[in-house]
Amino acid sequence: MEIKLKELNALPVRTWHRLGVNGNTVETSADDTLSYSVTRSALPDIVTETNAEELRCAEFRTAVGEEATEYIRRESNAGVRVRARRGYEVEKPVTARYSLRSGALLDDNIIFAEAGSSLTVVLIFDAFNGKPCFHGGSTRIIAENCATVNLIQIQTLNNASTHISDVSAIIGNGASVNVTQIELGGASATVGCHLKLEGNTASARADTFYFGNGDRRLDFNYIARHLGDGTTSSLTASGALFDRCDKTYRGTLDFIRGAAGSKGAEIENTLLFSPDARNRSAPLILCEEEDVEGSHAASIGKIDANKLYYMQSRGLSEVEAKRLLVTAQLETVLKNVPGEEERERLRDYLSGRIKANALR
Amino acid sequence: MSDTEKTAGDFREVYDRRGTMEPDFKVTSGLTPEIIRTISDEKGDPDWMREFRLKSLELYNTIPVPDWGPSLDGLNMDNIVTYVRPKSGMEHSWDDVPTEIKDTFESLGIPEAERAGLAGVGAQYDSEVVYHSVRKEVAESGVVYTDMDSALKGEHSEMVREHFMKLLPPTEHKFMALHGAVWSGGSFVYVPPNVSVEIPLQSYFRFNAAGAGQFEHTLIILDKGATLHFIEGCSAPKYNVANLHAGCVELFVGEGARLRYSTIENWSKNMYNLNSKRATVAKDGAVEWVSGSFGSHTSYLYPMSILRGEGARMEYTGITFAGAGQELDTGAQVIHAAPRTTSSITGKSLSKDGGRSTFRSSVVVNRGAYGCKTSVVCDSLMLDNKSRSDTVPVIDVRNDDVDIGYEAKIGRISEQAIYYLMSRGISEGDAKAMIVNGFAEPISKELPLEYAVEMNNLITLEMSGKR
Amino acid sequence: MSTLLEIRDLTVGVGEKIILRGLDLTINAGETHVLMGQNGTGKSTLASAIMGNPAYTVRSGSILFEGEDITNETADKRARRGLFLSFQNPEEVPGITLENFMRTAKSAVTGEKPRVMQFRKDMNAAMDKLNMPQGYASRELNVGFSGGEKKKAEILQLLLLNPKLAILDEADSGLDVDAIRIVSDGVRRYRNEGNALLIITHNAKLVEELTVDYVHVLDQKKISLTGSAELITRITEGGFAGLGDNKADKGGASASREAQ
Repeated sequence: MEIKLKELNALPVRTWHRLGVNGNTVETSADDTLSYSVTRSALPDIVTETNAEELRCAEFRTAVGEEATEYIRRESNAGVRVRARRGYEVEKPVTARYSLRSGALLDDNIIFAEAGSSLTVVLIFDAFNGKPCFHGGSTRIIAENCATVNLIQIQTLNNASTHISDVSAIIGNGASVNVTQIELGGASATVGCHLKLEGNTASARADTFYFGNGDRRLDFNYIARHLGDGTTSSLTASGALFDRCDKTYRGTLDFIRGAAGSKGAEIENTLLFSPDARNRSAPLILCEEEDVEGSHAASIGKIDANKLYYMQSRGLSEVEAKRLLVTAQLETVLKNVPGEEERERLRDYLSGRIKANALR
Repeated sequence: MSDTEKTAGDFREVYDRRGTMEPDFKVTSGLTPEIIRTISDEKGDPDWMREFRLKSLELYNTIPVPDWGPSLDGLNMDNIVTYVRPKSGMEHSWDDVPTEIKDTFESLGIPEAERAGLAGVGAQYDSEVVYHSVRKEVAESGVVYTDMDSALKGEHSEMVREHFMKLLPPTEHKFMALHGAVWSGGSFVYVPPNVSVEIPLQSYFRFNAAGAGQFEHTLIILDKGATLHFIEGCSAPKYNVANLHAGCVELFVGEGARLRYSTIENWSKNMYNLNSKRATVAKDGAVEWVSGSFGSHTSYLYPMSILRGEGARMEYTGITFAGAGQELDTGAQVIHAAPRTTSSITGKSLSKDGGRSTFRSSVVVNRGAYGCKTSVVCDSLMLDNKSRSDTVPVIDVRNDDVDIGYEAKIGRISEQAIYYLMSRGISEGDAKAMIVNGFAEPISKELPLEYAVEMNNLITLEMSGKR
Repeated sequence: MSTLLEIRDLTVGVGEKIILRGLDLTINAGETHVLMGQNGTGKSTLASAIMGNPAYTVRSGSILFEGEDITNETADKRARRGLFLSFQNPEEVPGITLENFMRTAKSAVTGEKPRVMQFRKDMNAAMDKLNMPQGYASRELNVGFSGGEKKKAEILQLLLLNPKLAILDEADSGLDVDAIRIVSDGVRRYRNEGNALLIITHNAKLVEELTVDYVHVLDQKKISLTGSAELITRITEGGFAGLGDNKADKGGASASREAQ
């Protein structure tokens, strides 16, 4: 099957087309037959299955784009759709681990946290072998008043596969949504996340780590839309680029009039390890409310020479120090990943792919 | 009424004073090959320029209006008169300039500034330059400062032809195509090798006609090791119909040369300011942009620097103040096309009374351009809750040996700071104006004193909401 | 007695600027040296040059460690030989815990992986002695540490890595009296007959409890004066201004050389 999706990850305010950051197109093909295995954790009693009907009244906004999300939901062949009951804090994470063999996996996920509940969902996308696969995911999150949702998405597809993921969250009064995305594989990954801070004092966090090697194309679009009073958001993206990797990061803090006392912060740290890598960043702040604080800071380049020297002065070789600094970036997001086994897998996955010669 | 308010009010009166003198000649509104031929005939263009204009018009008709940036819906080219010639020749003495036009420039303080400390002055009124003069000792050092029409036909015609719209070709965007078709007026500067012009040159563009366009062309060439500070000023009285400004500035900075280009833009609030500016900088050369944008209804303004030679550098410090009814989209662009080039972009923006300001930037570091450094800092201040302030920066890096820093902040004036000043007996309004002037300080300190004063007055004027 | 560090006719610069010129210094095992001097005389530059900070260029001269020329070695190789520098401003490294970093460094320096439980025990013991809450082990390296906490973390690293020669660059700056005592205790604990110390300080407090063998004064881009411990008292009481009069102590590094 042929898959062609246009106008993905559109920049909320367009700029010069020649820079190529206004949006992205994905054109790929996958086997007609979908073959994969999935391991799902058993649902705790207080978590029930849900469906799209229950989201009817919610107005989600997408970061990846209508065309892609509609396609994924229409053609959906998998998904985690859960609803946490009012007031219950679900300790055990709901986990789905997909291993793709061939074809297109399209998962339509719904995470509904009723008032005062808390829920953690882990979605892992892995591949069995080197065959090109397609994964398209749409995850809609509702965090009602004072609810907490933690979503952890991990992508370790093979280097021939294509990955698209949209996360759209609506966050109520005093509720919080924390999205952790770890993007380590794929030929191309298009990742978008729209955090709609609707309720007063709603908060949202998006922590991202990416690893770019080979010819990987990484394309991110994060949007925090502040509507309620006293809302807070934090968008952090860290990662390392090797070989001929091409990465685009868009991060937007959007303060709507009336979002008084809101705060948003974006931080981007990109380590560059190859003269052929390309890194594009478009960190936007849109603001029509006077009483807000928005900030952005980016650092893009080689590893800081002083840090390197400090670590070398403790006996680490240049290669060891660099490797440690890249894995340190991973560690900052691994804190959010439940399960030592999965954390260890990701550490091994990463260190196995950082080639020593690329660090010199 | 306090002293500052009085000054601010006086300023407004000066900018808004309309000239009543009938123009000597103007074309009918709209854009047709006939109109272009008429302009060309009236100006006595050489053949190549006539061709260039007609080709540009063809391009204009094929290039779409930008689908990003502020809306241009209020601009109807069919209503714009593209060429208005005042009843004046190109004079070298203010005494020969017609009284009304001379009085306008007098009240704007141009001849006074010239006497006080400028190496040369050019003054344009609507489509034509009415006055151009350069100090004798400056001219004797080989510096050429003249109006573009004289340059196009005189002894520097070859140099003009070699550089004209080479940096900003008519293919660049719709309004550069328009410029190529209807440009008129502007200044030409050439500074010979190792000549340093110690005091600034200034060109001032006064736009008097209603429903018209101004399309001046500024071409500056600095030879090896030369230095120059060029100041551009502009203003117009306010009308109820849209006016259009689509000037073009091309700067060629030679090896080791240094050019500072300062602009205080104070167009009236019916102006669509679609100006384009670009510099190319050779090895170890430097271009410094200092920019204050206060006027116009809608602005698209992002000077670009192409750092072509190793060690070249650029600096941009700009402030934009968007008040009622204004949508000012400003910023800077840089392309690091050679190793060890450096750039520093500092943007400040303010919005008030429903104004919209956007800081837009692009930093591109090419493949193979190793050891480059760039820093982009953008501060935005929201002065009330009716306005809007956006920051749209892009950084595009294509190699790994770079040092990139980016910081942006948005917020409002700290209540604590206002309270502190008020506790010392300052009124709330003055306290705010004081804080805003402090916010603008990094830009005003880059300007010669009288321009810094003008800028402070413009800020005070904006803060008082009287414009 | 074996010579650990030998610096010969060393000239060091940053960019175009020369900071040290023709400096000599010898440090033997079992010795404690104190380096003093006014601000901006190049004390930290000397420490950086010995440790191999790439921001500083050795223009001429040589640095020998245990008889081998290390002038052109990278910092990690020097650390593996047994050199240690306590930084004046330690770097913050997010994402790496202090414990993880120390384990990695220990295995780099010793060439063998320390056993996890044993290492944790050693580390906890050392932290106790420095009055550091054990929670610090799992905090990110120097991130959000106060000035004093950073200095303690440096001394913790000194105790765990147990180098042959430790250079302390203003290990006491920004510390209150109690913290200086803790740092000073830690340094004393480290010191034994087989190793050596080079302490850069403005403060007599840090070295009060230590037996100081030599005191060097850095001035005019080199060591202008070398004396015994009593020089510290003279400097604390009379400043650097009065030192020029005393010819008896002149002779720079040769004094310490004679001690061989």
